[in-house]
Amino acid sequence: MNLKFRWGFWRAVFVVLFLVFLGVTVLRFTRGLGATTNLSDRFPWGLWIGFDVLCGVGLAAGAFTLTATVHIFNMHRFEPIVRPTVLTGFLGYLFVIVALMFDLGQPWRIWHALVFWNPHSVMFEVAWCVMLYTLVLALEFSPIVFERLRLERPRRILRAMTTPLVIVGVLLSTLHQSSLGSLYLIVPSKLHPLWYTPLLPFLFLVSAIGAGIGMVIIESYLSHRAFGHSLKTDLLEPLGRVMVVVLSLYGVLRFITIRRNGALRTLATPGYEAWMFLIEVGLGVVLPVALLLSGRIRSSERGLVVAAYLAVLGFVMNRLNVSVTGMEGAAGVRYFPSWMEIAVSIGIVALGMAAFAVAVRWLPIFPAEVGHVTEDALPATLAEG
Amino acid sequence: MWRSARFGLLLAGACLVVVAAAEPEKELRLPPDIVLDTAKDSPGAVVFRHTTHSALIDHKCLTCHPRPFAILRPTRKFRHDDMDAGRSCGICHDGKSASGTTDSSSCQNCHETPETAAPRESARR
Amino acid sequence: MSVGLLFDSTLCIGCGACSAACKEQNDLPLPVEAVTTAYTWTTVQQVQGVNVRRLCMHCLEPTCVSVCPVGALTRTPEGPVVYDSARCIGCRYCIMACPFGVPKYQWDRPVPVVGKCILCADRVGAGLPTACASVCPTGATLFGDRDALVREAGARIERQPGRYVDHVYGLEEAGGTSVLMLSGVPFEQLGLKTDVPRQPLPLLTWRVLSQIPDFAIVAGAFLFGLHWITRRRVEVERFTSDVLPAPIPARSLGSLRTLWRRLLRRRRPE
Repeated sequence: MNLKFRWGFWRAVFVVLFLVFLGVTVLRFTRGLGATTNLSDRFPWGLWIGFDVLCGVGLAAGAFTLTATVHIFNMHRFEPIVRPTVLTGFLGYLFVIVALMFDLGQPWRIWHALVFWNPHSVMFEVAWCVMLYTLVLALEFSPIVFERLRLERPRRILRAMTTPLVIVGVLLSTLHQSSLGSLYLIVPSKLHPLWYTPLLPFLFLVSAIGAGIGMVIIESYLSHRAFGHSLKTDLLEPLGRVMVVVLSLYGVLRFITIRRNGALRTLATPGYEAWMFLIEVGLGVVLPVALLLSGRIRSSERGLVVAAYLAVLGFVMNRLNVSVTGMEGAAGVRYFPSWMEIAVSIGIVALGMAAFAVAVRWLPIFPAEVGHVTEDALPATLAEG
Repeated sequence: MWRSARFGLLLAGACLVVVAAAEPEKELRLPPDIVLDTAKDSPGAVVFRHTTHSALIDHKCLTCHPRPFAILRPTRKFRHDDMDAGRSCGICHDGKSASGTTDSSSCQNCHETPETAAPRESARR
Repeated sequence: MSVGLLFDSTLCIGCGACSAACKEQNDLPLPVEAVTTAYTWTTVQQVQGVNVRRLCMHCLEPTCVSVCPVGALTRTPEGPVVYDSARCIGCRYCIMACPFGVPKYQWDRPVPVVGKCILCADRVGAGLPTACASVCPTGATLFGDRDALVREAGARIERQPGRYVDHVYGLEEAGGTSVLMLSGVPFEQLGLKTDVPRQPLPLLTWRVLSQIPDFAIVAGAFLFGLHWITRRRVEVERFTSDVLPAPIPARSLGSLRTLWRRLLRRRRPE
């Protein structure tokens, strides 16, 4: 009834967004970056780096957080949500690559990073991490496709590789998440002291884990709503606990670095940067921790989801503050993305959501749909027993 | 030849400043006068003087460089056809801003006759 | 030998010969713009009555060279920091990272490249001074050996302390630059960045990047160890419980994990 109407509505919205996206794509590649974006020599990195790349990669952190939990810490009760999370990670990385294609001045030369090496460049590390981790995610995801296609042999080979794959994946993710922070180590005189710290790589990693956990909770909730699966609050409650620990650690580290930078006093009489910082940390760190400290909220579906949304929002704000707000002062200009930049970002997110919806329909992503392969879900049965 | 000589001079000048450490002053050392190539039927040699031209335009080198006149690879070939069509020297020497190139009464403004020839500055100081 | 430029803003009359020569030398389109762009690699700005040149500082340890993922920017042994447009992928990290805000992008082109002063690397390689220095009519821009220029700059300040502020811009900025500047007014008033760190910036990222191989080995071993330990714990839990283990597929030979599991099952104390 209601559901039917909604699907039609969202499909229409998607088609419109996609058409706008296509139009802007043509403009972007025929007219250049100057005609389509608000980027300039003073502000060379904008929404596509700050949101699409930094946040896209960060939100895919759910994949490595959860695969590590299940396969390295061997907490197999989380196995049922591994597949949707790996799918999100894989799609997330694919769409980071799409966004890069828009942002790079000459995207058709992206392979240059494979041929011309500069190990002194953080961007070089980022390029290799994107590439290799996308490959790892594809391999981690491929058993699901093989399962659907009933290709037993490749599926078994890949399953045998699970542990080394997960370990390599966690290593690459750790390197990649932190390297996105390292990108900004080189601009001590440009990035505002509320965000600049030699600890940036570590802070990026910790906040990505926090957001990754948030994404796991949100995805579980969304899939529950969209496909009528039960939200396993008993499963997610411990994730809430972990989030409290991760976000608290993150908050304390932020406080220490800001105090060391001598930037605490900028908060006493908040200007533009300080307000953005307060909103970021207040909404994205302090509030979710406060909420999740309460056991009652933590074990309620709504409480968990709200806290998870806040953590993810705080994460997105952090990346935008590092890449935009914190850089505006030194640049001497304000940056706000053009409508075309926004259209591309929205288009990419919409494509990602559509791809997720399609994948969920055609592939055995959710455990209820993989009944015929219980032998593969062995660790899961273990945990349930 | 001219070019390398000029660079040699400049280098020497630079070295002089560095080594001898002369008192820095806002002293203009403009390129030497340029004797233009003359055709057979020319009414007389033409000497371009940077000093007079530069002063007229408040020492804004960008007025004439690098267009219409190259600054690194200066030419000594100037054609009356170009000037008469409003190019080259003719951009300014149009009869209004400066004496024209088509007016036969103003030839001696640029072309030297034995009587009007002024002593030439052979090289910079 | 490392070459450089000494720009003395107290001698500059803003004639623009340097910009003109730069345009000609590098085949750049006119006009000379008021700020440096991908098409104007040097320009003279008048700030509070002082003429000051804008150009690449040519760091001794350039940030742009260290951040470029494809090595499109390099520093030649003589000093010029040069750019190979054929390698550039257009990530613009150099523009974002340069502490002096030097590299510029061709925002107006569908196939853009970066533009910046390359200290006339070809001329310098052939033993010639840069185009800008070769045409400067007042000697405000001097070309020469960097060490000699450093001494000259110091000597000028010493001789006329009233004429100059007591600082050679570029001597220590970002670990030192090939381009040096003198001024009669504080440098920040000329719009030059004075908050640039004194140490070379590439160290900031190299300190982290150089740890990666060690990190990968240690963390990899650590993660595998964790997996091994927790795996063992799960197995123990499994055998001490009354629940029957889930059936193990007969065909999954070749999996280390299955092998491990089988070994353990054989030792089951039942």
